[in-house]
Amino acid sequence: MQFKDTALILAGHGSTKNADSSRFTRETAHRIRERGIFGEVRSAFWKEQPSYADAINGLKTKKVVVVPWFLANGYFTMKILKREFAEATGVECRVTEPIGMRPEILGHFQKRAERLLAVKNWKPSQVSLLVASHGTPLHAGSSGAAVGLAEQLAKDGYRTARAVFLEEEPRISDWRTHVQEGPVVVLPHFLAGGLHGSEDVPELLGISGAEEGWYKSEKGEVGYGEPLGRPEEVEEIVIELAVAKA
Amino acid sequence: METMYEAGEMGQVCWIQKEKGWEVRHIQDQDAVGQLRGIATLDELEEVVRWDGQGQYRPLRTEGNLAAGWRYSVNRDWELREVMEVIYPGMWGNAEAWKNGNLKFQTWDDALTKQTERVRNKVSQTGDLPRKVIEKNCKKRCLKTVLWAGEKPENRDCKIPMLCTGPCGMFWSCLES
Repeated sequence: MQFKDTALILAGHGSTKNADSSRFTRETAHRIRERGIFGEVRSAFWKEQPSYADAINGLKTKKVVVVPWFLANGYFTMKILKREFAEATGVECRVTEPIGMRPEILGHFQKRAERLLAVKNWKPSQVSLLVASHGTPLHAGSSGAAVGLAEQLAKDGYRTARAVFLEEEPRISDWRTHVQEGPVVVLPHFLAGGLHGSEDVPELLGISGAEEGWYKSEKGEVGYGEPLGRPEEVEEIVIELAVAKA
Repeated sequence: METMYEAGEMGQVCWIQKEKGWEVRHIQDQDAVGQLRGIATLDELEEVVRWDGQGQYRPLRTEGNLAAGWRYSVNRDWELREVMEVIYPGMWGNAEAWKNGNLKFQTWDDALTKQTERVRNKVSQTGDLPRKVIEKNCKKRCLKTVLWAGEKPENRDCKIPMLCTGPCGMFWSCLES
């Protein structure tokens, strides 16, 4: 499988504060480049370098596929990325769905929940489950992916399964009021390395760490899952999105 | 210079022609012999450029605080390009486009239009804040020439210019804070 006439850009958010925010995006780009499938492979960011425009400027290839390093068809994917890459002149540019919209993502969430349950030797019917996501009043699609995942996960038999958000209702900060008493599995719907999954959500839950595992909070026992996005986990997803219509 | 590869210098980095290929180093280590740490992969290099000499995160890769003490050997021109892409992302392509006369850069108005209403309001309420950020952030920290603010690159044949085509995440972050 080769697409030497095509450049692949992994388009992420990045951060001016968090050193890990772009790490996995860049590592995944290096891994895919080494496989020699695409003519060029780049990562590009809203908050870090290279910017989306600079990444395009440097390409030799005039056919570009952009894979959004995002989890939902939300504000960034639907507005910012479409706008930024639509403005690229002299190149044929296609923006795919974000990595988080692939069906495989459900399996990754299920595995995290299963690992946490196995530690306690519990069944889904003994715990509640929350998908903790960003959400934004700027775009309705932002929360949709997390709500859809929670609905799918509910079929596995949890006492409750629902999505909660940083920037819209229902809020992560009110997590205890959204589930019954007893242990809660919280799966962060954030990409690995980012500030939200590694600091903000654990803080709102009142837990002392962000590593996958069980924590005691003042409001009960919380099993916190690992955020998504390690290169080995998403590399194939990125390639499948990129070559789907190439 | 005939090609970008012959230039030998960009920002705080230089590349020295070897029998086969080049060796990329911090410019401070240009004449160092034997005591530099060999870097073999782009992932290792990412770790070098992610932190400054004090171990602080470098969100702005074009800031003049690249740590020294390493070397990276490459055999082919495309490998050199990939190494430079990690150290100074996007800068090689911008310089190439500039050299060819087709580099596009944003105007301040274009850039501001793309920001949220909150940012636009802040700018309209604070008058010359963007100019202050350019002076305090861009010109003092960053090695790039701020094309969108009217700067022109120095015409030095041995050095590839680093060109800023629009306000970056760090600019907006400074402006908002």
